[in-house]
Amino acid sequence: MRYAMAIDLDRCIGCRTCAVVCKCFNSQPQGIWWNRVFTSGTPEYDVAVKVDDQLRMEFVPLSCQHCSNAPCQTVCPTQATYTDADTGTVLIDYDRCIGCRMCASACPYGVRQFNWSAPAKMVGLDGEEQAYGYPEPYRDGEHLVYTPVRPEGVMEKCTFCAQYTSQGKDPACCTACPGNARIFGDMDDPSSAIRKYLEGKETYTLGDEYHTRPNVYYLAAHKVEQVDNVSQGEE
Amino acid sequence: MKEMTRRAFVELSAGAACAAGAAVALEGAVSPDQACALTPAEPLDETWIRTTCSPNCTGACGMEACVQDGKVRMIRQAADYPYEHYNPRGCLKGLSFNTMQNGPDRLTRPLIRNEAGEQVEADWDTALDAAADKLRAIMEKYGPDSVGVIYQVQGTGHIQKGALVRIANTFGWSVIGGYELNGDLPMFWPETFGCQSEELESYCWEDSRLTLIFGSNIMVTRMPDAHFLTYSQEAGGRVIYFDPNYSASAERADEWVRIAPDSDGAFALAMAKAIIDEGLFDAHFMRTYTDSPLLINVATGKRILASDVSGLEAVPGIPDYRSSFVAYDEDAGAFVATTPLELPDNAYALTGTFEVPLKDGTTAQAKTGFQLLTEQLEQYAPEEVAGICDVDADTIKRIARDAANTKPMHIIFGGGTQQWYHGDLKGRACALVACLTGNIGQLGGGISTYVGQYKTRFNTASWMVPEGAVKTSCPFHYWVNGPTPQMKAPYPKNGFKALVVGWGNPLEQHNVANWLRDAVDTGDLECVVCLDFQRTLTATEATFTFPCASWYEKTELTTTPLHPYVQLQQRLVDPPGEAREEIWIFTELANRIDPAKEPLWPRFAPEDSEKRADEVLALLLEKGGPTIDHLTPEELRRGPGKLAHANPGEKRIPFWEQINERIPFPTVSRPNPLDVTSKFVRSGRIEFYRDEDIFLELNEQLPCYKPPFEDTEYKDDPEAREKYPLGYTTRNSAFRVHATYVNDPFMLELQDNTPKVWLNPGTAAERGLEQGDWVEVYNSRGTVQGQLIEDPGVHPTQCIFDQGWWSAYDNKTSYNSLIWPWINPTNEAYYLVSVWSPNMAWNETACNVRLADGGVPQVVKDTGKSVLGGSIPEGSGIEYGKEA
Repeated sequence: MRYAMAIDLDRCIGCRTCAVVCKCFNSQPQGIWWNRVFTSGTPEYDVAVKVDDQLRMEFVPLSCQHCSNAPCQTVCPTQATYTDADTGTVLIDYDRCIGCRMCASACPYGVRQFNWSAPAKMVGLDGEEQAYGYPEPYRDGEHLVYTPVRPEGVMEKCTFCAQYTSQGKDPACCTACPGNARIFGDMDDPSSAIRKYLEGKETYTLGDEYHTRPNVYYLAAHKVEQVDNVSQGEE
Repeated sequence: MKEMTRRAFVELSAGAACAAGAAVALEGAVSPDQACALTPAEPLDETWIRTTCSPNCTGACGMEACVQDGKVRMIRQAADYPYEHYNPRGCLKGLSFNTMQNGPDRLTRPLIRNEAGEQVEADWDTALDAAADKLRAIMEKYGPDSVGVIYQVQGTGHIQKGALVRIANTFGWSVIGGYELNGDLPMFWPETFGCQSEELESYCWEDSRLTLIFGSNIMVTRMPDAHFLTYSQEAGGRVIYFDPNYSASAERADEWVRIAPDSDGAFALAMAKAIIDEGLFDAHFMRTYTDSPLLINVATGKRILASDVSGLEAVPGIPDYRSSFVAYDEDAGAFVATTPLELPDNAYALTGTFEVPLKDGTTAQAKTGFQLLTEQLEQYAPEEVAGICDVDADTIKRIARDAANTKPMHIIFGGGTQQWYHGDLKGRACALVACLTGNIGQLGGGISTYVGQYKTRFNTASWMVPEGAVKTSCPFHYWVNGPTPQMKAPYPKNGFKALVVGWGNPLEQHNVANWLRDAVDTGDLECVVCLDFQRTLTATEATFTFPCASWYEKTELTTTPLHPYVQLQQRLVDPPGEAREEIWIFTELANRIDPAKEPLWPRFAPEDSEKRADEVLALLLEKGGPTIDHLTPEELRRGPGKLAHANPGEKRIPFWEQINERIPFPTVSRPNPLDVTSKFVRSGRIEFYRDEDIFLELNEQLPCYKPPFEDTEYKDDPEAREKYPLGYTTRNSAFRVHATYVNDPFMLELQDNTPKVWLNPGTAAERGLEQGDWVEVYNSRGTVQGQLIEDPGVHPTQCIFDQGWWSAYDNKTSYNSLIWPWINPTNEAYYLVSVWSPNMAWNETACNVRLADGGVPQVVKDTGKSVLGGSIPEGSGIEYGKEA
């Protein structure tokens, strides 16, 4: 069994529903986003970028790539980062994480998020704390890989929603994507949703030069024909 | 390992085209004992209950919420629509609603003003009695019509919102129609088709083989529906997107046409000319269903009535809101009276000039409507229009041919195109293309407008129109502009003295919001009653503020134009604090204003609100008519129920009855009966020729192109041309539904807590401005501030601000302070609230941009109100994506 995710950029509308449902369901504190949607070439949202004399707004949803050869795991001095042998999911044991941040340096995708101190709490009614997300801690065996209240000074990242996948459910970003652009499943199972979706389609993975062997597969978006006399005039 | 910044990585990796495509390894087998690998999580002690997310985006998305300890912790899409492609339905905003529902801006106690003018908490009895006394006094002094009523949009809630309509009709308050107020009213619909509007439900988009989108940023403003365009593309269809600015919708289209701002109408007219010139038009459609063959008196500009023609009489048995006109029958070689009662096949001449003998002994020179149309189109040759649209003639002709030869072809006519002073002319031009190509009445074809959750899809009078109702209404435009000589709408004889607002925030969200604030400050507007669940500016400025239930805390009945499902909002959790359901608040208010109204408003205890809402639900379904009366409350408690429609097949097809059963136009515009709207198209046909005096006077009897600002900004102030050279677009944001969700902490993080202003880099440079500058957008009426974003996708003549920011986040400036409610006199030819009434032309606004000297607002530097004892130091902000 090898869990994987396909992201069809031809279906992605850049809406960030995946990012928000991920944040909420996994109780991510302020400033922490396991799953982000970038527009290639700009730090801003809703901005066009010139690519080969055309304007483009190429959306790139980015979260942990769950690499089969995960550099974050290799460098972790405490084995807090480990790969679940049966599913290939890369996880962090919060109990073991010492907050050295070696993994964040090693990860070429920049998807690891660090709690620099005690996580900020969200204000609720009458000044009380407001809680959101999956309410119970989840342990994979003895490993604490999810808890709604983050310990201070730990690294965190996408777990493929281990608390859900362990119950046979899909990760929240895949069930919530309004464009049905994210497909999850077992790459070793020819009848899985992801295998069926990818059948006959070209995919690519990010950062092949790092030999990380990611388990998140991207499908490229189509080109846009453009009639644009304004940009032509600017050149 | 070589360190690489995230930013560089993304730039590299996202160049999808240059990434080597690799076939996925599809080898390998699964062994059954590996099925459960991670330690199974303990099932949660949780309850998921279905409700409907139904703010003013019009999406009406089925949601389920996970409730623990009386609070919503997580929200997911219900994904239970019988038509599978509608699943999952719901966006980032609805999925994080819990953060606002339980957030610090939640209203939990009634608020009143004390003698010192300060807003203080009060108990319900005190607040309701005081509000009732004040409203009664104003009604007695100035008349009941001096009480203006704003309810967000009825379609988002028929029971609770319907209660505000009911109380307005009980006392004769003036309804300020949401349709014209919000800019949703696409006047080309009544002008052309005689109805409020018709549209494809979004699942029909996947059936289109060509979709032309004019100024509708579907990927941002219709997130739960957007994928139907993708499915259309996956099935071999094409999407062409017209917009001066690049956007997510341009990115997802097959072709983006950077059309000059407000020139869409000229483009459509050039398409029409090319389609006619190349003989690609559907003559049968034009002859049978449109007014093209009707004869027009060239001297008067009026259509010739059969009863005026020598030897002819009007067809018998026609009601007085219909007319029998004249056509030339080529088979009979004679003039004939046309019937407005059906749409038969005919042999009427489409073109030609005729001498028509009249009963008064004179002879009228007459031309067919189509003849006049083709003559009119002479000035819109693609070569001529190229200069207006900034699109070359060959492209216009190519797209015209595609539109004529690809079926079904669907035009989406968006708010970006519609909400201009001459928006109706553009709509008429686009409707002409839809008709010339014979796409009306076809699955996946035609023309649609998606602005507002406006549509009344069943009969609602049983609840909203009580016995002895006094119905009156007046557009907001007249309040600001004052009454006009030619207006047909009623105007309160003493003006507006009180405003009752439900689910809206007019002090921020209406144009000239500052004007409305002044009316409150000066006391000209003596009383504002606000019902809301969030502490908006209107809630904090109101005389009386009543805390209400959110859509996870009450029973409400919703519909939408986007899908065929009737859905309920349900009470998953109790409203917090003293917040209560609106139906109880209005029942109490009605009884306290006038105890004699109790038979219409039987009282009940607040804890029985759900029971009362259930009774109204049952009544609405039972009396709702054939589209809804097959549904039961029990069924809707379980999940979505589908509205019935007349045509065969799964999907409703607008105008199917007209095209196939030859029933005359218009379709019904609920809640109005057909005879009220039929006079808009007296011929019973789709009408491209309008002969009311005002249309003749302004030379708008046929669709034509008129440039932006000439009849508004520049006419008002000739110097505006130089002083305010930019067009001002307040587009919808991905992170808000108008102003709703502005205080959602997740949405704030995604936007760095910062309002932004978008300019083309060249436009910024001309003004000495740079990315990141804190700037001010201004004109003679108002200003708004924001952080400058340089975006080559923005047209050099445009300035964009994402609407919906509360002024509290923006140095107290309001984006709506720049916008004026212009009144186009053709919009006053008739008056029917929310059907024929002045358009709201948000985009008809000129502006300029300069460096703001007021500094950056504090809230931008703060990490946001969502933090409680947080460890993130003040001033650090959250710069989502900045470090990429």
